[in-house]
Amino acid sequence: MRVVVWVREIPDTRDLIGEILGQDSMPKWDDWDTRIDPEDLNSLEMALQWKDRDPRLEVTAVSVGEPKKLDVLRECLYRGVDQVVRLSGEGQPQDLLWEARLLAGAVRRLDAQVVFTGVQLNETECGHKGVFLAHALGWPVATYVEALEQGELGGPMKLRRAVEQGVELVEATPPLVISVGVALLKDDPRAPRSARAKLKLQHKKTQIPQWQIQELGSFLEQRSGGGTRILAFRSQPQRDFPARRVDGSSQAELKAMVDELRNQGLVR
Amino acid sequence: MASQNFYLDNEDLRFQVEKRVDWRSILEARGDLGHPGCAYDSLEEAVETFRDLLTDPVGTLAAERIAPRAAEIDKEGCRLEQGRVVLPKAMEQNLRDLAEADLMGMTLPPGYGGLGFPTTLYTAATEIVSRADVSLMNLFGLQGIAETIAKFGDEELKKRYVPLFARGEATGAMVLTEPDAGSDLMAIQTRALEDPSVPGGWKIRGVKRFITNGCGDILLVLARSEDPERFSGARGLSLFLVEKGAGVKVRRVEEKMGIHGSPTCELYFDDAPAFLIGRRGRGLTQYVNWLMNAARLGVAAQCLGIGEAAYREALSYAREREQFGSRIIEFPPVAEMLVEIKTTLEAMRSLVYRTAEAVDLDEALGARLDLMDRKDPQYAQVKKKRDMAAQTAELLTPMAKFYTSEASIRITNLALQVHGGNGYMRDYPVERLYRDARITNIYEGTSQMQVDRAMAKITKGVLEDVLETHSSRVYESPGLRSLSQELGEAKKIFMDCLDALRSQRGLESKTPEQWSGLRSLFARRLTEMGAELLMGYLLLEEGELWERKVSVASHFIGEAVSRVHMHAHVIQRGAAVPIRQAREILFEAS
Repeated sequence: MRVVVWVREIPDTRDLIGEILGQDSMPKWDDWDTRIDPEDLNSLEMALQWKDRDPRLEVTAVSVGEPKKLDVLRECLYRGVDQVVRLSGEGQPQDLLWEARLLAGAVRRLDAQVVFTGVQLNETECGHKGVFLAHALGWPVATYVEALEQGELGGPMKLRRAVEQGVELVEATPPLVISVGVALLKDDPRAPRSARAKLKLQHKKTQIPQWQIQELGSFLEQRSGGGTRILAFRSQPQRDFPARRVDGSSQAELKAMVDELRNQGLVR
Repeated sequence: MASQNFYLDNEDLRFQVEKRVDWRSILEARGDLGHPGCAYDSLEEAVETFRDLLTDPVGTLAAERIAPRAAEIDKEGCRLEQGRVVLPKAMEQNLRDLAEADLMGMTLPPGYGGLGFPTTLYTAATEIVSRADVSLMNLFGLQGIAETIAKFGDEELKKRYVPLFARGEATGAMVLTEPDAGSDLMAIQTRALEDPSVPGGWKIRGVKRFITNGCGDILLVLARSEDPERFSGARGLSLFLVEKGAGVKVRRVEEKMGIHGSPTCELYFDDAPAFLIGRRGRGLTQYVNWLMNAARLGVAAQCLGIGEAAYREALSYAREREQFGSRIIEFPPVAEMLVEIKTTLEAMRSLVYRTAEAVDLDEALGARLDLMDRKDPQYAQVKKKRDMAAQTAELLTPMAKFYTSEASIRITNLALQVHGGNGYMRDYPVERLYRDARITNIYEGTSQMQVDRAMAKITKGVLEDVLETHSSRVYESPGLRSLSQELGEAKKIFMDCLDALRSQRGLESKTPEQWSGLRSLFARRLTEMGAELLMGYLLLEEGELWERKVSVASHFIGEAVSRVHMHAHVIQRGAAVPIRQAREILFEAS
């Protein structure tokens, strides 16, 4: 059985310093480093752990568009997927709905039964990456999945979902989209594996297959996208909290502080 | 925020790996570059591959998984339960992570499942891993054990054991020390007896002590195989491979001051079946000698890791901690400590990577010579290069091990001092680093033993040749030129001291025994002088490649030259007969 993992390259927003928006109020993407979406690494890990248990499974990683600074598909090869496919998305409006339809075309062409995705938390997508894809495929979707309890090839799958009150077990039979939850703790069994040195040496020059939009079936006949457009970003100015030092050994100063806080209604 | 990657965040290490190391010479000597079908199409591709692997998996694993577990490992420690050693749970996870990332056979031949990388790259990985957890180095950094089997064992042993190491399914130990044979390995009493009825044809009987990872699966045991009447001392010692099993009992796990994640065991061999490695009587002189040198370079890399970790702890504390209304980094005495740590660390690093380069060249050219016909017109040229690399490696290995271990203790001491009272508390990692560092100038041969070995080479003039290749360089920039001149004058003082001891002139002349006493007494000072002069020259060269190194070189050379003067003064004063003087001082009543 074939499963697909949908991966993306995203801006690395850790440790951003200096001006991050350009003159046009758009982020200076070119100055930022990128990384593989950490949630996608979790979904990749879940697929690979399933494959570790059942080697008959074939895992294919799929991504849309040319790499900017990091080739996420190569990263997937370094972690042990069986094959990768890059979907060329040039010249098209690239909102989530459009990307999900493109993916759906690839999933059908691959004849896969299960798709894993990360939750994807950027602001315009609301964690709906898996939901949009399931809609485009006409498949059921399980969201916020944190473990694959059981998955016999072709049979029903037991999935553990993280919900607000705790966890719930759901059963679903492929075809199915699984959107893998957040909250990656160090001791979480899903903690994604690192690259393997041997696979890195083996795949550093591997040719990555490209599929053009035209090869993905009826995708083009549908509406081109969801129509979402980003017009501008605005930085939030840093709020300024003036700090004052109070001499802790002076009773008078401490009393003055408490009085002042009382006057402001901050303590009673 | 905690670092995400212990390679990418380390500018100086990246400088060494990506700009400074002479990969071309190493890779060409190994046959990995410069001919059709070799491992790399170009030098750039090779360096990119190395950078890529040190970034991920090595740097990522170290920062994201190994480092956060270090405190827990230190606290839990190793224990003995019903004859079985239990490692801290997080240490088991570390080993699993490293094995899954294919990192347990970095230098092993690809034919046996290894990655076949140069020692220099493995040294960088060892440094990164040690920064994350010092005690993990004793398991990660001892890949030389498997390499010893790959290098000296017969085909059957290689096929059977090397892939296990490469896959991370087996760990090993160097089983040398005994209660009465520590530094003096020639005094080993453990016996190896021939017995055709056991697998391997030998059995081992005796007690070994202070064995790092003695609970490992594959033990390399140094034992007396020959009749002591006929072959005494080193000539009677052979090296054996023993699998963990019924004949090997762990009698005790030591409670140590530091490196709590690394089990140190007392072993009892009760006629354990054993395989001979290589030839009889070569155990200490050839195989263990090779293995110890590999391990010494590993310890030097471990010291870099310790130094780097301690430096970062001290720097971030000094930036945050406020006293007298300012951050303490603003106070000259604190800044001075930090500068001392950082310049020492960069000088150490340069010395260690030059040592690793020499080891790689020696190994690669040696392997090439073995395949060459002596009549080949190139034979003499290759042999000359190899001999020089071998001499350099034999000098720099003990020198680097000695200098970096002593320096890592100094560095952790200063880093703890920057923390003040907080540094003495278990809440701060620097307290652990201080304890961990203390073993480095003891195991794999004490500093005194390293100095003794380095001194043998210094007396032969090897250091002169090495210094000559660096000191004859002419610098464009006036700043570097004047520093080079300053070093040149210090070098002359050093040579005068060395010549006086070699020619036995210029100091109050004495009997031959007294001269040899003086040589051994001044060996530490001479080795330190030589090491610091060499590091001064290395930093100058780096000043041409990276602007900020000029400041580092200037500070280091200023300090080093003044120490050269100090040592020279003591040597030229020619202390009276040291042992007699010692008696007068130590025994008040006599």
